[in-house]
Amino acid sequence: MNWIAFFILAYLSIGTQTGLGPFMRWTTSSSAGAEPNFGLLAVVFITLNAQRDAALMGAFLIGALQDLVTQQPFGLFALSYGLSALVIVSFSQVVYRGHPLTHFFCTLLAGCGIALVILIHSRIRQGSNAPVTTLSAALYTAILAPFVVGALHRMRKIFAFKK
Amino acid sequence: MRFNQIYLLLLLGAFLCAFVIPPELTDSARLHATGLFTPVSYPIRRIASAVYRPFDHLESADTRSNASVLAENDQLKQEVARLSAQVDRLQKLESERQNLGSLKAQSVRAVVAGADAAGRDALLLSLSPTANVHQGDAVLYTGGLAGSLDAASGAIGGARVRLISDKGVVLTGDFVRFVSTGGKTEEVHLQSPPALVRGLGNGMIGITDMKETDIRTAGVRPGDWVVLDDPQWPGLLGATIGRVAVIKPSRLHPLFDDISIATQADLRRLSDVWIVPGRL
Repeated sequence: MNWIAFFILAYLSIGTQTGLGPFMRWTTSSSAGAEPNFGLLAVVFITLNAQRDAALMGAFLIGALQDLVTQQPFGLFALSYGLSALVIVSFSQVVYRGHPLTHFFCTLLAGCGIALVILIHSRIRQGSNAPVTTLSAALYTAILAPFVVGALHRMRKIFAFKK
Repeated sequence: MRFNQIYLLLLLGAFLCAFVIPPELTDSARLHATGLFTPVSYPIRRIASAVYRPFDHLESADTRSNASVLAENDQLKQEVARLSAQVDRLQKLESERQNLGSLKAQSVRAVVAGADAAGRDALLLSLSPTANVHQGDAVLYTGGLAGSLDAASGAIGGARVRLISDKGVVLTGDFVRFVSTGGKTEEVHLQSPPALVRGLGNGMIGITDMKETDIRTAGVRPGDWVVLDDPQWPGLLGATIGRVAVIKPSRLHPLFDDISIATQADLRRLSDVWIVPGRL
């Protein structure tokens, strides 16, 4: 994998998250304000396309970068992205990587995994994350995945993935 | 050492940081990178802010009619003119004694570079590395109190603001109503026990479980202002927190009410704030 391209993607995704997140808040009567997770979209793209080791390390690094700009304890996103990447990598060989449904379901699965880790942490540390909001954020991100991951998939040559 | 072992160690380290080690210990290390994403997040935020501004206006919690707003504006213009003249006169009289300027003059203006990446109620500020700000400093916006500096430092020049809407934030507030009598607007403090204003997360602020009788006795109603009345912030007493939006019976406790407070702007979408050194 081209690590320079990877770091540019990671930097842009986290920068977009901090800049755009509050403006894309999805508020319904059942959800107090779910935001899409652009870092997760980058993780899904990398784990679906890169070699196993590079994909796992990439997902962990994106999580660690996201940990730099949140009030959550350091390591929470690195851990949850790392675990989600382990799951996606295990079946990335048998899915059609360019298909929008793959992007949707992989993002939803990873998002639910991340939500689970965050909710467990929230329960232990008495944090502020509500299950409905956290799971809504996973669904919201999954809805965006076919567009964002699909666009990234068209640029995958830049990343020089080896499979 | 094989990759799997290294990866397992990394996950274990992340687990320890997230679940075991107190956040205060890890926070100091990551503070230096708070401003790292400003070159991307700041322009994106500016563009998004410009695009969403018309919609923000439509979502205002203000229920007053246009006619009443116009009438109030006229009264306020007269009031501002009168008060400005008085302030000018007082400033001249006390110029020798006054070493301190206005609150704004003492404060450091900071540009909001982004919001919390995990959806918490926090802002990331872009600051000069030499800016003299510290943890606990009050953060104001044009609509009143926004929050306090949760962390500030860094070679890259960044700071993090914990907004008053973040879950776990508790402030003491007071109810105030502005009453117009004879073309003059007066501030009336409603006679109620000190209200505990809580951050409820996701941009919401409220007063939970306040006795129905206290609310009825004080005559609190939607549109009243909630201002800061907290001994922890002596220099900011009277700073605006928001306006009473909805009063409804508590779902958990009979004979108690919950009050929702609407801030003047969505705090997570602010573009500029002012940091006031210390809690004054």
